[in-house]
Amino acid sequence: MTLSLPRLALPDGVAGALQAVPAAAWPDLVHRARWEGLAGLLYATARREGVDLPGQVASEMAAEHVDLCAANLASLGGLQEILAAAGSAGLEPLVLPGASLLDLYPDVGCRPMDDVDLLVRDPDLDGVADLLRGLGYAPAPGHPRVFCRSGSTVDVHTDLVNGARLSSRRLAAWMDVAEVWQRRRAWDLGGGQRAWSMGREDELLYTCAHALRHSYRRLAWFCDVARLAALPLDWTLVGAGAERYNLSRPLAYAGRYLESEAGVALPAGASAAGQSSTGALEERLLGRLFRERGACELGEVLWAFSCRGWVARSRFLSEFLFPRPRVLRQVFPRVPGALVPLVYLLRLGQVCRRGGAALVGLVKG
Amino acid sequence: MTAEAAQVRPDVIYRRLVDGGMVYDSRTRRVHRLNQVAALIWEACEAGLSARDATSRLRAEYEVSAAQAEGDVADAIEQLRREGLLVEGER
Repeated sequence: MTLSLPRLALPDGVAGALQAVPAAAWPDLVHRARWEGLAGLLYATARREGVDLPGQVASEMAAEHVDLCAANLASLGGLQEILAAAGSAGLEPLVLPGASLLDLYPDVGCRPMDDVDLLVRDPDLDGVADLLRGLGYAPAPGHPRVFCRSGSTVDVHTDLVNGARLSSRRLAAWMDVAEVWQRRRAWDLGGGQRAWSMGREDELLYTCAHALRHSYRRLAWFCDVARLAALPLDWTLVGAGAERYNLSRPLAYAGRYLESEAGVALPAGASAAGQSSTGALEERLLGRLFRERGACELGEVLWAFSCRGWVARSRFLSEFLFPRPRVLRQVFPRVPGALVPLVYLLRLGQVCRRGGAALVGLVKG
Repeated sequence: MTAEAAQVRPDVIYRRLVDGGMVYDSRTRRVHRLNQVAALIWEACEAGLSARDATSRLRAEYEVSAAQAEGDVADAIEQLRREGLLVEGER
C-alpha cells in the first residue's frame, strides 16, 4: 500500500491511510517525504494519529523533526529580534509565507523554511537593510537583498511576484503592495512580539504564484495552499484578487493539482475563484509539469499564458530566457564582472540544453 | 516544593510540539527542548498556575503518584529557572 503524500495537505486527510502503511514501506515513504519537504509533517501527523512507526524510522524521523523545529524556532527568534528593532525604528515589515504559515500545521517542525521573507515598502528598504546590518546580518554576495547571519537568512522584498528580478513578470501577474498592506493581519509571534502578514486570502494567491514560480518543486507548497483554502476565507475576495492581479491561472493550476492529482478536494468556493480556461499547449505543458514535478522547470514558461497578448508574452519569455546582466550573474556567480557577455553565451547553452530536453519531452508526451 | 507561581519570561518564544515543546531564548539565542512533562509544566506556568496546580494537572494527564508529580514539577521548574526561562512569580 502506498500513501499519497499530498493527502497530508489537509488535517484529516490521512488518518486511516497512515495506519495501513506496512512497516517495510516506511523508509521509501520517508525518503519521498523528505524530497517533498513533508518529512516533518509526515512525522507529526503519524505521532498525532498514534501510528506505530518502525523503530529505526521512528528514531530518525524524531531526530529530524526536532532539528527542523529548532531551526524554524530559531528563525522565528531571529524574526522577533528584527521586528522589535524595526518597531523601534518606526518600520513595519510584513512577514511573508512560509514563516506566516507555520501556525497552519500541527507544530513548528512541519514545514521547512529556507529563509524568512519580509516585504517592506520601497522607501523603507534602506532603513531595513541598515537595521539588519546593525543586528549582525551581512548581504549575501551577489544578492544585495538577501541577508545572512550564522545560518539564518532573511530575504527582503519590495514586490510580491519577484518583479525586481524579472521586471516583465508584471506583464503576467502582479500584486499591489499598498492594497495588500491594507488587508494585512496581525498575529502573535510569541515572546511579546506582534507580527504583521498578508491577509489569508492574499497569502493563498501569493502561495499559488510562488509555487508556480518554483515549478511546484515541492509538495509542501501544495500543502500550504490546501491548508489556506481550508480556512474560512472570503472567496469573493480571493476571486476578485485573482482577477485583479491576473492570478487566476496560478490559482486554478494549484487547485487542479490538489483536486485531480492528489485527491484533495478544495472548498467549493476555491474552484469558482480559480476558474481559468486553458488552451491545448498550456494543458500539455501543465500536464508535463505535474507529471515531472521536481525534474521539470516549466513553471516560468507557464507564466507566459497569463500575459495578455503575444507582445507581452514574447517580452516575458525573452526576459525570462535572457534576463538583465545583474540577474544572470546570480545564475553564473563564478563569471568575473569583466566577462559579462560570457554569461549570455552560457545562458544560451543552458537554454538550448533545457529547451531541447523539454521539446523532446513534449513530443514524446 | 513551594506553591508560589513561577512565571515564564515574557520575551521567550514557546511552541508546543507533537513530542513536547520548545522554547527560544532571545537573550542567549538558544533553543531549549522540553519533553512532554516539561511542556505541560511550562504551559501551566504560562497560564499563571501555581506549582500545586501544575502538579494536579500533571497527575490528571499521567498516572503518577502525588509525590512523583510534585518532584517532577519542582525539578522542571528549578531547571527552567536555572536556564533563566522562568522568573519568580508574585503569587
